[in-house]
Amino acid sequence: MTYLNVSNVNKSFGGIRALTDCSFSIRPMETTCVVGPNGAGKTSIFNVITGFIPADTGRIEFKGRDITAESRHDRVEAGIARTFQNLRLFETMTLLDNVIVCLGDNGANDPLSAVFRPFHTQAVLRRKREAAMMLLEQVGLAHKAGDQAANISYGQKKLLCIARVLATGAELLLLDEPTSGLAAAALDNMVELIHALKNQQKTLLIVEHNTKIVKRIADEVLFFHRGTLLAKGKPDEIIANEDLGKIYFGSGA
Amino acid sequence: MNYFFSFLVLAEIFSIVAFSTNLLMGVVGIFSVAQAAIMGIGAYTSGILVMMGVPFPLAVLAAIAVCAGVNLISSLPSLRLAGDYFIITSFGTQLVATAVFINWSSLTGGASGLSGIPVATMFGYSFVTASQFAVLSTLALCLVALSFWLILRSPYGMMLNAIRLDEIAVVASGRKVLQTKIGVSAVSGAYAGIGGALYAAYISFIDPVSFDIHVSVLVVTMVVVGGARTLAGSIIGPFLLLAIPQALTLIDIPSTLVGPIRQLIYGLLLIAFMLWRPQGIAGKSL
Repeated sequence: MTYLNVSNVNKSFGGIRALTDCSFSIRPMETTCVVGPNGAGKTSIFNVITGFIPADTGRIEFKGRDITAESRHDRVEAGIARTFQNLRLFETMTLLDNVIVCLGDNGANDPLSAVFRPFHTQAVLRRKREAAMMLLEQVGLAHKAGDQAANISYGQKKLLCIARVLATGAELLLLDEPTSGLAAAALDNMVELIHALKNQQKTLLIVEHNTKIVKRIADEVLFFHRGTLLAKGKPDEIIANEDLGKIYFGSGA
Repeated sequence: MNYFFSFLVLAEIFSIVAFSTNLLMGVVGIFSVAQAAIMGIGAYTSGILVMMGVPFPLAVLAAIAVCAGVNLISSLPSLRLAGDYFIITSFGTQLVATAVFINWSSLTGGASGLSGIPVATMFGYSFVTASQFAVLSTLALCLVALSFWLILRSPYGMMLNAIRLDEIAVVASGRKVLQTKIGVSAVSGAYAGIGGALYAAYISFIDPVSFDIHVSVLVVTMVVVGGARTLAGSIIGPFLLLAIPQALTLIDIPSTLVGPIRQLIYGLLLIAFMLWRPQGIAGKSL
C-alpha cells in the first residue's frame, strides 16, 4: 500500500495548464521537497492534494483511500493538512488562540454547549489551552503565547504556521515555503524544527526554493516545470543534474 | 416616570436585536441588512399566536424557533457568497419579508397591521404598564447578553472570530465552517425572534413599517456606533440612538421635521463612525 499516491492529475485554468498528467507517490515518514521555477505548479499540486482546487482528471489516494472527491475538512480528518505561502494567520488573535482554533479536538465547538454547558465548555477550553501551549512550546513560541499574531516577527509567524498545522493532528504535513524570507538564524531554527517533525513520525511534503536547504532536509525531491513532473530522485542527483539546473536557474542564454 | 420606562423597554428590545446583528455581522462578518425582517417575523409569529389564545411563553418559543429557521435559510447564500455580495442578498430577504407582511393580509392584517395584541402574561403575572414590562425586557436582555458573552468566550466563539479574519485558514485547519455558520445564524435568528415577540407584546400593535429596511439599517447603525463584537456596544448603541428622537422633542422644531432630522442624524452618525471610529464607542481598536 502506498502512502500518498497522486495519479494522472490534470488541472487547467481557462487555457492555462497548471498541472499536466502528474503522477507520483511519497513514502511515509519521509521528507519530500517540491522544487521548480516560478509557475511550475508547486502550489497547484498542494491545492489539489488538499482539495482547495478540484483536479480536472486524475486520482489522489491517501493510505489506500480515494480522497479525490472528498471535502477539505474530510481530508484534514484523514490526516492531511497544509500551510500557506502567505501564512493566513488570524492576525488580531493571540498566538494561543490561533492554535486553539486549529486544534483537531472538536469538543464544545457548538453554540448550545457554549450557552447551556458553560462549565463543561470552560473545562474543554482549558484542555485546549494546554494542548495549544504544548505546541507553541514545541515551535519555541511559548513565551509569546499571549501576544497578537500581528505583533510578532516574520520568522515567528512562520513558526506559528507550523504550530497551527500540527494542531490539526494531521500526519502528512504540506508546508508551502516554510523557509522563504527567513534570516540565517531563523532559517536554521526552521530546519531543526523540520528534522524534529520527521523524528515525530510526520511525513512532510515541502515546497522549497533554496537548494542548500533541500539538501539538508529532503529524502526525495520532485522537480516540477510548467505543470509537469520532470524528475524525481535523491536530492544530490536532482541538484547535480545540469539540465534541471539550467531550467531552475535559467540557462543564461 | 412611565416615559422613562417606555424608553427603557424599547431600548432593551432593540439591544436584543442588536445582539442578533452583532453576532452575525460583527463577529462572523456575515453582513446582513435583514435583521428587522427577522424581528418582524418573530413579532408576527408571537402576536398572531397570542391572539389565537396561545400562552405568551409558548408564543415566544415559537417565535424563536421560526426566526432561527428563517434566519438560517436567509443566511445560506452567505455560505457561498463573499461579504459584499451577501449584503445584496440580505436586502432581498428584507424586501421579500416586507412584501409578505403587506400582502398576506388574512394573516398579518396587511398594511394596516395587527392591533390589539394581548398583553404578555407569564406565570400568572401580567406585564401591562411600561414599568412592569421593563422587568420582562430586562430579564430577556440579561439572558441574551449572557449567552452572547458565553458564546464569545467559548472555543466556538473563537472559531467565529477566526472565520471573519480568514475563512480559508479555518477551512484548512479542518474545521466545519458550514456547520458553524449554520449554528450562528440560528442563534442570531433566535435573538431577533425574542426581540420581535417582546416588541409585539409591548406595543400591542405591529405593522409592516415597524420592520422595514429603515429599521434594519437603524440596527446596523446601532451596532456600528456602539461597537461591533462587544457586549457593551450592543447595549450602548441602541440606548444612544433611541435617545436621539427623545432629545429632539426637547428642541422647539416643527413636528413634521422631527422624522427627517432623526433620519439625517442616524445617517450622519453611521458615516462619521465608519470614517473616524469604525470600532464604535465600546470597540477595541481594529
